[in-house]
Parts: sequence; C-alpha cells; structure tokens
Amino acid sequence: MFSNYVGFAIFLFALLIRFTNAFNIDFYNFLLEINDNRMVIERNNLLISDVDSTKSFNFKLSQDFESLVNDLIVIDNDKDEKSILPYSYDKDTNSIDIDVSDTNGNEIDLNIIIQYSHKLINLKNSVMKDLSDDKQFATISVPKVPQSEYYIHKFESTFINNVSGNNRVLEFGEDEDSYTQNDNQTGYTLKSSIEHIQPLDTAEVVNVSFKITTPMLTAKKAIRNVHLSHWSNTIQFDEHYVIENEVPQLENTFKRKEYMKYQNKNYGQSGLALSQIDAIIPADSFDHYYKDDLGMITTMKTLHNSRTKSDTMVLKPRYPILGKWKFVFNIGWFNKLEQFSHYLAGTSTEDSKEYLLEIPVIDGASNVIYENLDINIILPEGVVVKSIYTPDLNDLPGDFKKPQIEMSKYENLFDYSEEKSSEIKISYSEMNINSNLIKIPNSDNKIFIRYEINNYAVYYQKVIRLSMWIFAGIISLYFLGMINESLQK
Amino acid sequence: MNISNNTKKSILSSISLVLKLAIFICLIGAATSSRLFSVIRYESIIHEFDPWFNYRATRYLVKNGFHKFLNWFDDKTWYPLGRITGGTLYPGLMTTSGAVWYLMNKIMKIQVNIRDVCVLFAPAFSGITAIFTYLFTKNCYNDDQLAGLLSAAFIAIAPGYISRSVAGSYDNEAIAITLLMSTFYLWIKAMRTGSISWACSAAISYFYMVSAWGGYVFITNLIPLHVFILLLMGRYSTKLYSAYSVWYCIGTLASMQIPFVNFQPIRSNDHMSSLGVFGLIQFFMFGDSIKSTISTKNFKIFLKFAVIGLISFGILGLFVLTYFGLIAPWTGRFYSLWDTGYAKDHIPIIASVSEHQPTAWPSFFFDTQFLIWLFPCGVFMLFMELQDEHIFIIAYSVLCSYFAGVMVRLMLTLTPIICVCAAVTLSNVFKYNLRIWSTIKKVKNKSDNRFTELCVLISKLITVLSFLGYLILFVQHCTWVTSNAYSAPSVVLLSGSTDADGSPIFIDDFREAYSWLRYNTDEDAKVAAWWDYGYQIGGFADRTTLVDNNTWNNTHIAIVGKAMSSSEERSYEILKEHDVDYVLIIFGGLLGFNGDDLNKFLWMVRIPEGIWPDEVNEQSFFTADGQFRVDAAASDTMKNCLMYKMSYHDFPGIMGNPTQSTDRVRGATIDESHVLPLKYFEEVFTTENWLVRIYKLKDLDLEGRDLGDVYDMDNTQTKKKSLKKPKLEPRIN
Repeated sequence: MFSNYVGFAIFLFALLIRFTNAFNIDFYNFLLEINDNRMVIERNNLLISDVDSTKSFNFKLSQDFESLVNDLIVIDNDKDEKSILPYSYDKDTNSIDIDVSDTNGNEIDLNIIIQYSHKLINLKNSVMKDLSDDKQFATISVPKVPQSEYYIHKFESTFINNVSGNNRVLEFGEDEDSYTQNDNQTGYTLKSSIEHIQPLDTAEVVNVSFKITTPMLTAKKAIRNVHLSHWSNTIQFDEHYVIENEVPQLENTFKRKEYMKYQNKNYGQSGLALSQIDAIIPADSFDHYYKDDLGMITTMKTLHNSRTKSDTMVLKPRYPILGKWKFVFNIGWFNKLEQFSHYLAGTSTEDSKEYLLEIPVIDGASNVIYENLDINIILPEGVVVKSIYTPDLNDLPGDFKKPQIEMSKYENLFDYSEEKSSEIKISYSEMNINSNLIKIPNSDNKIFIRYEINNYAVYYQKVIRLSMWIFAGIISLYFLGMINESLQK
Repeated sequence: MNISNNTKKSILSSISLVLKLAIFICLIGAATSSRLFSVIRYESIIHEFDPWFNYRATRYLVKNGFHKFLNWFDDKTWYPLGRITGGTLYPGLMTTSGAVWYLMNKIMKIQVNIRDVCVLFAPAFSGITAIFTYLFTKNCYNDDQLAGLLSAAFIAIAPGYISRSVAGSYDNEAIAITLLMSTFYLWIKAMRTGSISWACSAAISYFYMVSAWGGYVFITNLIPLHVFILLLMGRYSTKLYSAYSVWYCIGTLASMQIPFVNFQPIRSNDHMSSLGVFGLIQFFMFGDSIKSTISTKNFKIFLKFAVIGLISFGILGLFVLTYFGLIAPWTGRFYSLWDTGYAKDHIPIIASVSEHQPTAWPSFFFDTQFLIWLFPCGVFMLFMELQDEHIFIIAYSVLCSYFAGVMVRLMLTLTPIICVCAAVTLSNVFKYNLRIWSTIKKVKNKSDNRFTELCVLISKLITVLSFLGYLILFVQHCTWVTSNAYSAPSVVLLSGSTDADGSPIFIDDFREAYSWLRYNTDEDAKVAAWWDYGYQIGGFADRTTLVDNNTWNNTHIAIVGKAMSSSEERSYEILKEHDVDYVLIIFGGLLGFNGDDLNKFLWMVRIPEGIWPDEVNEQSFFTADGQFRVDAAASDTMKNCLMYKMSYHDFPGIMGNPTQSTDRVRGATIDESHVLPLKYFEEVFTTENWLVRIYKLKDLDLEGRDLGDVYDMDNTQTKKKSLKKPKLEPRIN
C-alpha cells in the first residue's frame, strides 16, 4: 500500500518537472561511431516537443567539453535547408545551451554531432606481455542513459565499430548485460533501448571495448615549414614530427630474436609496432628527403600514383616503434610553385602582381593524430601580405581551440634589404587534429594567403646583387695580384 | 702597328696573372670537389669518431658563445669525473668553423646549418692549403712558379692528405695542414728577408696552428732544427737572428694563451729544443758582436769554451729541471715515436689505436703514387744546391719520412713535403725537356751533330710524354683512392647490394642504435661502451658516457675494460658503482663486420691488466694451446666474461639451425650450450643486423636478493611449472 503512494508521488513529481521544464524529448537516438585512426563521433538525434522558443535548450555533455570535445555542431533538421543552430557552453554544468528561438512550431528535430579527442580512448592494458600479445583492447566509457534536464520518452543507443580489420566486433564491460548484439555484418553491433528516463537520472557508466590491431600514432609535435620561391618557381615543404606509438608498451624489454620470430610467424608483419608509415603528398613532387637528428634515414621510397593524383613517401623508421616509443623525423619535398600559388590577373598591375597561395593544412604522415601543429609559411623578400585565411578545423564557439596567427620578418637567403622575407606562423594547439578527417577532399582544410609581389625585389634584386659581389671578388683578386706583381718588381 | 716591349711585357704579365687566377680557381675546384665523394655517395654527415666530438663542441660554441665555450665543463663525458672540455681542447677548429658560420648566417645572410659548415670545412680548407703550398714551394725553390703550381696541384688531390680532409672529416688535421704550410711559408719568407713583419706573421700563423692541433710540436721542433743546422753550418746571419727571435718570442707567448697549452712551451721537454735554440742564437749574436772587437785567435778560444760550456749547461739544466719536475718529462707518444714496441709494453691504450701502428710499405705508394719516387730525387736536387731554405725542406723530409714510417697517421705530415719535392723534380724535368722548340731549330739547321740533336729531341719527347702519362695516371689513382678508400663515413656502411630500383642498400645499424638511445632513454642515462664509441654516443645519442676517444684517463678506460672482461656478477658491481644504466657493444658476428668489440677484446683485457694484474689476466682468455677462441674451445674465463655473453646472447638459433649460429667474423660455430644466460643484464635493443647491442642493468631486487639467485629461482620455478606429471598407471603384478 505504501509503495503505491510512493509510486504515485514520483509520477506526480515527474509530471511536474515535465510541465515546468517545457521541453520534452520524445525520442533520443544516440549513436557512437568508432572509426579508423581512433576517431570517435557521437551523433545525438533528438525529437523534442513542447518547445519554448523563449528559452534555450540545455544539452548536457557526457564528456568534458574543454579537454575531450574536438568539434560540436547542432543542426536543425526541420528546416528545408538544414540549418546550424548557435549554442553557448556553460562550464559549471558542462552543458551547452542551444538557441532555439529561431525554430518554427513547438517541435524540433535536432542533430547534435560531437567529434571527440583520441584522449577519450583508454587502453585496457598498460603493458603487453610480449610481442605475440598483440590482441589489445581500447575502451571508451559512456553513460548508459543520457543526463538531461528533460524527460526522455524513449532512448536508443547504438555503437558502431568501423575500424577495419577488427571484424566489426565491439565488446562490453564484463558486468554489462543490457546491450544486445544485433547485426554483425552491417556493423550495427550493439544496441539498447530504454524508455521513460526521468530528468537527471543516475549516471551509470558502460565501458565499450574494441580491438586494436594497428599502431596508434599521435604526433606530440608537428611543424610544417613552407618556403616559397618565385625566382626558382618552387615551393618547399619541410615537416618535422615527434610521433609516439600509444599502444601498450612491452612488459619486458625488446628482444631482436623475439621480434624476428614474430615477423617470421606473421609473414613479415610487425603487429602493434610501427614498421612503416605512408605520407601522402601532392603530385609531381621532387627532391624528397627523410631524415632525423642523426642524418638521413636511408630506407625511403617515393611512389607516384597518377590515378589518385598524389605521391606517396614510404617511410620506414630506423627501428620498429613499439608502445610508448618515439619516432622523430623530418620529411621534405619540393613542388612547382604554380601548383599552389595562383596568379590573380584581375587585381594585378605591371609593377606588382597578386597571387593566391592555397596550401593544405597538412600533407605528410597518414593515420596520425596531431596534438600540436605549427605551420610556418615563409614568403620571399619583397612580398606584401594582403589577407590570410586559416580554417578553424572545428565549429566550437568563441576563440576556443582556434588557430593562432602571427606574422614576423624572416631572414632568408641573401636578404639584405629592410624589407625582409615574411613569416606567417599558424599554430593549432591542443587540437587533436585527425589526419584522416582533415584530408577529406573539398573540406575546409586549406590555408589561403593573398599576397602581392614586387617584380624587381623578387626576381632581379638578389641576382644582380650576387653577381656584383662575385664580380667584385674576382676583380679585387686580380688587382691584388697586379699590386703583388708590381711590388715584387 | 708597333707595340713597345714594355707594353708587350705588361700584356703578357696581365695574361699570366689571369691564367694564374684561372689555375688557382681550377685547383681549388679540384681540391674541393674531389673531397665531395662522401657527400654524393652517402650524405652530408660527420665521419668516424673524433670529428663527432669536434662537431659537438662546435655546436656548443655556436649556441653558447666563445666565453662559455672556453669555460665548458662537460658533465656528460667521463662520468662521474666529467671533463673540463674548454680547457682540454684545441679550439682553433671550432672557432674557425663557428666564425665561418657566423659570417655566413649573420653577415652574408646565407642560412647554413652548422653541420654543413663542419662537413664542408676540410674540403674548403684544402684549397687554401694548395695556395700556401704553392707559395711555400715557390719561395723555397728559387721562385720557381712551375714547381709551385705543380706542388699545389699535387697537394690538392694527393690521397695522403685527402685521407684526413674529405667532406665530413671534421678533425683538427682539416685545418692543421693548411696552417702547417702557411707557417712554413711565412717562416721561409721571414728567414729570407729578415723582416720582422713576416716573422710576426709566421708567429701568428704558428699561434693559430697551436690553437688547432697538438701536432704543432712538429713546427716547434722543426723550425729550431732548421736554425740549429744553419748555425752549425756557419750560416748565422742577422736576418736569421731577427726572424727566429721574433718568431719564437711572439709565437711562444701567443701559444701560451691557449688554455690547453698553458705553460707547456717553457715546461715541457717537447718544447725545449726551441728554447735551447733561442738561447743559442742569442749566444751567436753575442759572439758575432764580440768577434769584431777581439782577435781571431782569441775569438776561437772564446768560441770553443763558450760552446762547450753552453752545451754542458744546457744538458745539465735540462736534467736538473726534469728531475725536480719543473720540466715535464717526455710523453708516451713521444717515446713510441722512437721505439715502436714501447707503447705495447708500457701504454697499451696508445698501442690499441690503429692509426698509431707503423705504416705498411704499400701505404706510401697508395697515398702518394708516383710522387713517392720523385720525392728522393727532389731532395737530392735540393741537396745539390743547398741554400738555406733548401735545408729546411731536407730537414722536414728526413724527419717526416721517419715519423711516417713509425706511425701511420703521420703520413699526413709527410704528404705535403713529398708533393713539394716531387714538384721540384718534375719542374726540372719539364724545364729541360719542354725546350723542344730550340732543339727542333737545331735539327732544322742541318748542323753536323744533327743526329745527336734528333736523339735529344726524341728523348725529350719521350720523357715529356711519359711524365704526362704518369700525371694522368696519378689523377686517376687519386680519384679512385678518394672515391673508394677514403670517402666512407664509417658510421654508415654500404651493403654492396642494391634495391629493386638500383639504389644502394645501406647498413645503418650504428645510427639505428644511437637513435634508439636518443629518443627512448632518459636524458641523464649513462652508457658504458668501449672508448671508441664515446664521441659517437655523445654526438649522435646525446647521452652520458663513461669513457670516450679523448683517452685522458687510462684508469677510467681500464674500469670499462675490466667490466667487459670480468664475470657478469663482478661487471654488474663495477658498472652499478658507476651509475651505469646501459651497456653498448658492437657485434659483427652476423654481418661479418670485423671491427667489432670481440676483435678488440684483448685490448679490453690488456689495459686493465696493467692496473689490476691480480684480477685480470690475459692468459686466462686463451685456450691451453694459446689460441684466442670463441667457439666450444673457448676458455671458461672467456665464456663467462660479460663481453662474450653480451655478444652471443640469443645469437644461436637465428640462422636456421635452432641451436647454433656461425660467427661470420671469427668463423666459429656458436652453440646454445656455450652461451651462458645473462642474469644481471637484459637486452633492451639490438639493431637490425645485430651490429649494435644495448643491454640494461637490471634493477636491484626489492627484497635485497642477489640477482643471480633471483634468476636461478625464477628459472627453476618455470621449469618446475612446465614439468609434466607422469601418468599413473596401475601396477599389475
């Protein structure tokens, strides 16, 4: 009898909250996608009723916004042309307030897409027993039910594993039994469905595990230097990497004999150790190099692929990079400048020409997550920068995780005039840039610089100056000889 | 149009000057480009061992400035002693390359890496050497321009000099030979003119040489020897007096400004000859002035007593001062110059260095080709004329011929004088035989001795053509030797095979191991390795080492040798006492690389044996019949020593046979049963071709047990676990 009263009281309380909070979530479809290169994307599809356009819709985040969210976008699906809704972040509650004032009617269909940092992924084991212990797992902790201020009528969650070579199998924490494995073939492997979730329900966490079969590469530091030369019509790319393999480290030490045995057994494969990395670079590249602080690394091969219109630098580290080992190297190549710098006929005059430089944020190593990336673009002496565009690489509000741009003078080869070369430094810090994501064609992943060049300064000044110096040197030698001979007489 | 003789002369002189300029530009081009084989074949890399220290020091100088460089205490070498690096090096090389780097980067605005400056330093200076050799030869030999140009051409491409001056060979000798020739040229100039300015220039050049290379002692002794011989020959002159006095005073004072040299010029036996000659020449000056005031008879008496007294006083003074320690005794290197067996018996560390071995005869031909037989002819020609400056060349030739015979590295100092003497010979040959036009005229004149003139013409043509042929062969030889013998950086090896696309396959194990150390060990990790690899570990891997190629502390090197040659348990104790984290060894057994540690191992035994004969005994590493073996017949001491265990750890079983492998260097079969397990050390890294192996000292046991016991216990437990229980079968009677 008493329990009936309690149940009725809870029902009344729920109704009260439901009507006082105005928003109701009729259907909440949660989808977590684990892709190649540790790319975790969360898609939250919410059908909301009782919309109060005078208030903003509060969406509680399951992970820390500042450290783990790389990108977040809110889309209103109701409109003919799906529109992006603005939102603001509330640090105290780790939630976002979505501005729904511009919506029509009292129902909305919202899509909240979140791309997470690789730091969300934790390794199940911190060590590998030996090299053959190469079946390692990574885990992601996600709340079993969403934390929301609003009543949720129905909640469905799905986990997708798109990591190639993993047989599309996701595994759950041992104590978890509320998820069902639906369809192995389509990849929609794990599903659960819960109804009537009360506002601010208890935060229960579920651990999702997935297999790791390839090295997990993180560029702790990457510097990309781009040198332009109009005189030689070339553009030079020089990239410096400090990459760490984040798979579990060996419990014991590295033994060459054991590694040789492992490779023999696995047809030359190196398992979770990195033995090769491919850098996809622009087509028609030339004069490639691959080196580290100790000199050239002699194992580089360059492949030209006419079909994909790109070149590939096949890079083998000096030694297999095991878990927690570092791989530090530099790669570089040249391209014709005209591939990247386009002449702007409309705005150019006879004395000064305008160009638009268009370069991707990154080329270089694939399947790498960049934690920090600095791009230095060095424009030649006599260049005036008109405008710079750098992609944000995320849609997060404010200056949060936006690239920093600095301009300074740079002393380049034979720069003697006051008007030295210009250096544009673009820094992406704590960004967790996923190389695979940023290389998607036609995405906003390019830097544009409009600049003007002074013909005399760029093409003739240095050459004339150098020629005069060489001539002066030789003629002074001749005169010295004459003086010497006359003194000897 | 009539052109006056003066105008003609002036035009000819201008043409001659332009031609000379062109020849010098070509010579510099040839000298520089022939040294770039290593860069083309391999890459822009610092070679071998010592250059790595010089490069590291130069980087320090460029980064921290000259003042900090001179006061540099390096705590990353000779751990835990450290090294007062700034005070124990010759800074000339580093400061010069630092200045070049500064000039190019800051003034000329040519952005170059300090490594590239260091790599290309020696080729660039070889061009300057050629110019100084020209000037030296021309001044020494009757202002003969042809001899000068020939000597410059020879030194530009002679393998004897190229061996230490290819691109990447960033050693003191890279600059020292240039300075050697410049000092000698300026000395000859000073001696001939008696000019104080030339003597000052010679002293400054000498100071530069002192700052650059320990071999400056050669100049310190050769110039006094030259003066001494001249004095003995009665060729004292005021020119000689002013030249030597100015050179000695300024040069000695200047040289003492180098911290490493300090007071050695007045306290070391190596320098006493120059001081003695300085005293002697003062006496000659005094005698010369007295001679004009007293009678010849009295002067002779005075001279007799004075010379005897002076020599006695000098010798006595030398002994007394040496006895009281005011003059440092002769160094081991000095003794080993006179007695080639001295180092092996008394200072094994010197004997263990390959470049301190006596020179093999073929090396003379290999390094100088046909110049070697032109050399004595040149000396003979100079002997026939015997002018003051000729005596210098003769003294230089005789001294260096001997030194080059006893120590292979001194071929370097002999090469310039060989080039000079050979050029003198060839100049005379060409001068006589190239006068063909006059002989042809005589033949045409139909004189009585036309046949004789025809024979003379033919013989001249044959001689000239023969020598032209020799010169062509010389160029070919030099190019071949430089390309094939002297251009390998030794850090990277060519495998001899090529890839599918035709590119050569390199064996890059050294850098593989150093790279692993650099990027995957703690910054303050201490690495124990044989001293040969100390500079490379410091330069490439940037890690602390116990010993390096500086070899200043024999005891410290002996400690590492003792650790390598002792039992594992004892080695662990020794290395732990020195805070060592890793041990690096070179093993060539898989690849067939014969410069590995096992082949150097007996030096690791001999050096500590000299200090701890009770603990290390060379004989115990040999078999009963006195052989040094590593296979089944190896002695127990050998099999138990750390070097053996580390070299062959895990080696058996990697070549197909599960229990055996063949050591390709020593041709020995290594069976699994010969190699005892490592209990105190564990392998942390071995390179792809097993050339470099790195071991880590295991941490002390938390329960305080001996690591050997822990290993035995673990191993026994594992064995116990894997024991299969016998099947119990009912016993049926």
